[in-house]
Amino acid sequence: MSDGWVTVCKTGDVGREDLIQVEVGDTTLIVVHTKDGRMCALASECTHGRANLADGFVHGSTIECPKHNGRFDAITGAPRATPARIALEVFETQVMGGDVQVRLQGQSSHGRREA
Amino acid sequence: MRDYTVGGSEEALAQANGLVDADWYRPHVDRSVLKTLVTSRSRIPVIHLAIWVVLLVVTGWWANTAWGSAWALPAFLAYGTLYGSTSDARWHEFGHRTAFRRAWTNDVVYSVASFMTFREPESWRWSHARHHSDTIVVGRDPEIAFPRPTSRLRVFAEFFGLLSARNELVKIARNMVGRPAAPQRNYQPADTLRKSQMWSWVFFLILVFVAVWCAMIGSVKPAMFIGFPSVYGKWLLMAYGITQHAGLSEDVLDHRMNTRTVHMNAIHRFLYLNMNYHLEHHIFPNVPYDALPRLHELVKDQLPPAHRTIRDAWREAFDAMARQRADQSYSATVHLPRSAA
Ligand code: FES
Repeated sequence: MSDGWVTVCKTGDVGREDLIQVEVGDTTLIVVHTKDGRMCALASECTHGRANLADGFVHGSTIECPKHNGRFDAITGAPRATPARIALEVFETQVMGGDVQVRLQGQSSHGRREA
Repeated sequence: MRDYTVGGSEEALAQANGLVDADWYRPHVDRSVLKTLVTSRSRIPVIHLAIWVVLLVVTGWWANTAWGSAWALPAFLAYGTLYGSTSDARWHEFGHRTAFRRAWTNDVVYSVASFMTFREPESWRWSHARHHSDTIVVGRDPEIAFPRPTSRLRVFAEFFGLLSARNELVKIARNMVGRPAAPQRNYQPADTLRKSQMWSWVFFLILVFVAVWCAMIGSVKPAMFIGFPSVYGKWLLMAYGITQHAGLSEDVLDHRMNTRTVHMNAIHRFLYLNMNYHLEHHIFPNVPYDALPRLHELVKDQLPPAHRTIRDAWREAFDAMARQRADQSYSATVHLPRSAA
């Protein structure tokens, strides 16, 4: 670990257009491997209802929630289809020698759950 | 009788019992297999949609040419059923955005099908999301079609979509003047109500246009093609819809106890877009309809046996609804497989 970067998995742990759940301390995240090869880390809890996006799916660079099929942009966390309307929290991610590393200070202030 | 109003007195009870937005039973399916079912889109939805549109055009043409003759009866029965009943399955599948890959392409079909099945699209999107979160949870689910005790009159009226049409007309009128009822405000976010208002005006103006057209030509004919089929063509939807949840348990967190899967032939499955695999759909709503038969094969050993025919499911549902008239706590018995209970 350096400068707050934490290794959360190996690149090979996440298939193309797929995601896995990882834990960093008390925080549960999803690591998404987009179709074009990018690795992204986001909050694992859907902002619409009580659903774990780790049970969801990836289409290209879009995450689909397993509960109501709400969609989020894996790179920005922005909601792409209702009932998702609030962005997911996105975390800084880098790949270093086959390690996927995440820095927990969120890039965005999104991520609250819908009331 | 329980209070089925969404946001009514039963809602607090549901909350206290942990039934709100809760975790539901899920059978085991290998993730990589599930991922394949969800993400690999086939051409089948495009082909099915094209066939459906062609059928609408052909039966519509037949109804138009048969107007005034005895052939008008079967012609309008065919056209009206396609319009009023089978649009519901399109409304549903495209509402979940599982048919096509792009959200907007699903949304276009969803909007048209919403008018055909006569459901204001924005409010129903939220209603249906709630139906999936809190399936048949009293006080929470806006889509409980058969509240207990279900009167025979209610079932009969719904074969013509009469209650649904009346409720939707009231909802549309309230939305038009910006005064949605409390249940709608319970399941729909406040900042989306303006969309409901806009759609309500669109629906109203289309219906006014058709009414003026009828008045100008002194015939009900245009309304028989646009508007009325949402009512006179509703019978098949009701026939299918009864198989989904009627007579099964309320207030459970296991779809196996409140949702049926029923085997249907290929024609019914085309008309109904495989929603006979309703249990599988509720457990895994991301799976596109054309992949549901494969999903069924993967999980059937963990689910109650599927009903063999529509009549088989009806028998159970009507029997349970009859018993519930005397005993509202009664639910049809579900046999869970021993291995997965
Ligand atoms: S819980 Fe994720 S879209 Fe509803």
